[in-house]
Amino acid sequence: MVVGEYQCPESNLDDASPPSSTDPVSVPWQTGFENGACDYQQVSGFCYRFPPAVFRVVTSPVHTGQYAAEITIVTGTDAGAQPQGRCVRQGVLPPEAYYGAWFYVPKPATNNGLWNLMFLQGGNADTTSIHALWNVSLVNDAATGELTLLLQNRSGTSGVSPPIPVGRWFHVVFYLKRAKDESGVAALYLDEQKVVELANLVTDDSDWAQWYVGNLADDVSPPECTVYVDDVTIRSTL
Amino acid sequence: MTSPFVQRFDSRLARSAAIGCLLVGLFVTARAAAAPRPSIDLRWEAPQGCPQESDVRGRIQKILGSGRHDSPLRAEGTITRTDGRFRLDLVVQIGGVAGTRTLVSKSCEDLAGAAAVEVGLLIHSVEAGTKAEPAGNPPPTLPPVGEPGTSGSGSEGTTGLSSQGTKDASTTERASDISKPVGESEVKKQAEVESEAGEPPPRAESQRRWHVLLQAPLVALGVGPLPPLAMGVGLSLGFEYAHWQLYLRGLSWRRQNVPASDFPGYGADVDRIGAAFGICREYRVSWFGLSPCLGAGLERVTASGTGSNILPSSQKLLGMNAGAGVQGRIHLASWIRLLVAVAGEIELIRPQISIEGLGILAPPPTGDPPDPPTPVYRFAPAALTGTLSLEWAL
Repeated sequence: MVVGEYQCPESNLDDASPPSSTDPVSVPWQTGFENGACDYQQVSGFCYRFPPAVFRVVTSPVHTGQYAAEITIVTGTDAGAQPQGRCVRQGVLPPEAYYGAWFYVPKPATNNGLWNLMFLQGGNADTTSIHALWNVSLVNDAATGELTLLLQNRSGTSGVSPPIPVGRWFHVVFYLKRAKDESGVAALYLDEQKVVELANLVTDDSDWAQWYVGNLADDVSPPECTVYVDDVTIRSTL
Repeated sequence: MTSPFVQRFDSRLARSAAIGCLLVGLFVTARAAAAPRPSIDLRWEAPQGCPQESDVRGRIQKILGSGRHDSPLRAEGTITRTDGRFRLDLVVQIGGVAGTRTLVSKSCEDLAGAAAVEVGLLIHSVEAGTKAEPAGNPPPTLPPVGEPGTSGSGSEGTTGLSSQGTKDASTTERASDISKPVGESEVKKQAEVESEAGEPPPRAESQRRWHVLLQAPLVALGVGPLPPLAMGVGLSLGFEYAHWQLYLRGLSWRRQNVPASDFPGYGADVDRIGAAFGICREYRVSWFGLSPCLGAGLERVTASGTGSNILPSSQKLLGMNAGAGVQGRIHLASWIRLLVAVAGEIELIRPQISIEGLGILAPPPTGDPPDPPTPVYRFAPAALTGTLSLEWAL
């Protein structure tokens, strides 16, 4: 017997106007998935999955609160080239902000392709000119095989972090000071330590953008890989 | 000024005190019933102004003489007033065999005397028979009362043990012999009692082997099929014939909130109303009876989802169960009993409570089949129910 349906409220704003995907992204903002995907939906964001993927809330492990998001994908199947489960905030990004999330990778794995945790793409809100801007991905250290974070923009500028901890929560913060000229700055923090900084560059060429957080992979061994996400934030300070 | 808390507390206290008094009363009655009975197993009910049980018991004791008389004989006498006259229904049981005598008189005093003589003589007869005859012989019949034609013989087969059908002459002789020295005047009085022969008693007043049973109030405590403990109230209607009881019980359980084990803060409110049919067989020793029972029931389950962002939908379902149990009865009086019962039930239908979309962060891509509803709780396969009630034998 199905005794109800989980539904996000229409909006948490007092005024009646529904949120728009072209609205400025307000800062600070955060979600710990305590309300499922509703915190995204209420600001015109959304969550999605491409199979084969499980994208649900779990009570363990969690970083804070009662819930975290579990995203389990299986690579190397005919179901999809890039299985993924991610949540997206969209709108006009602030000139400068820290985009953070806590991640938990339960076991080591070998990435033979793309294994993305955060993604920023720009363009117009009508999605006709969307293009990639920044990636935060997991890559294996060539020498040790340990998983590290790679920060990279579309022109190939990149930096790599020290190894991430496996089997415990770690905090990843992507700092972006936007600029259409060569005055922009991008940085990456791992557990509150700055591990990559890229300065004096064009960070993006559009005002509107989408910020993705989740788990996307196309060739990981073992093929089933799980990432837990909790406490996603956009802040003006670290 | 009294705070709402105090008012609430006082109200609870008063209610608790009332319930406590009731329970104490019941226990006192039960203790009285449980106290060692005199050697003569007699139950006696008579209107005010008529000789009561202690009087009749005294007269019997007088007939029997001093000493203890542990007879297997058990007698139940009931005097009722009918149309300005008194009527005695005397049921005598020896072992598994019972006999009934009905006498009518203008004087309940006389009826009490007649009953005392009959019971006294029978006890004598039984004791004499036990001493003189080998075990296993049939028990004696009720003795004749006075002159032929005035005794309670007859038309309704009310005289003599039902399994015998006829009077035992030797017993009669023995009874007459005994009656002379111990209670001649009593026997005389008994002889003056009018027989009710040709005057059938009102049906409602007769000593019956059947009763309509009402169990109310009935409170229930249940473990399973839903967590945690369940509390319920109800009533039961039944029919009792000899030692067999049939009942139909209705039970309304207090609403239970069933938590979703994987999703704190979410769950379902569940209401249950059940009806059960059962059959029991009572084994009674004096004031206490124990009844194994078999039963089956139907239960209407209504559930509705709870939790933040849940759009509830009330759903109904009919459950079925079957089980067995045992009832314990304390016979406080012939018309009221305290009933404690425990029953185990197997759920023949185990509903699965689910909430659509609970815990799902993203819907499947367009064109893919929808996700199944998220399970919240499945009814446990078995349940244990304890009930406490008063049972009224009507």
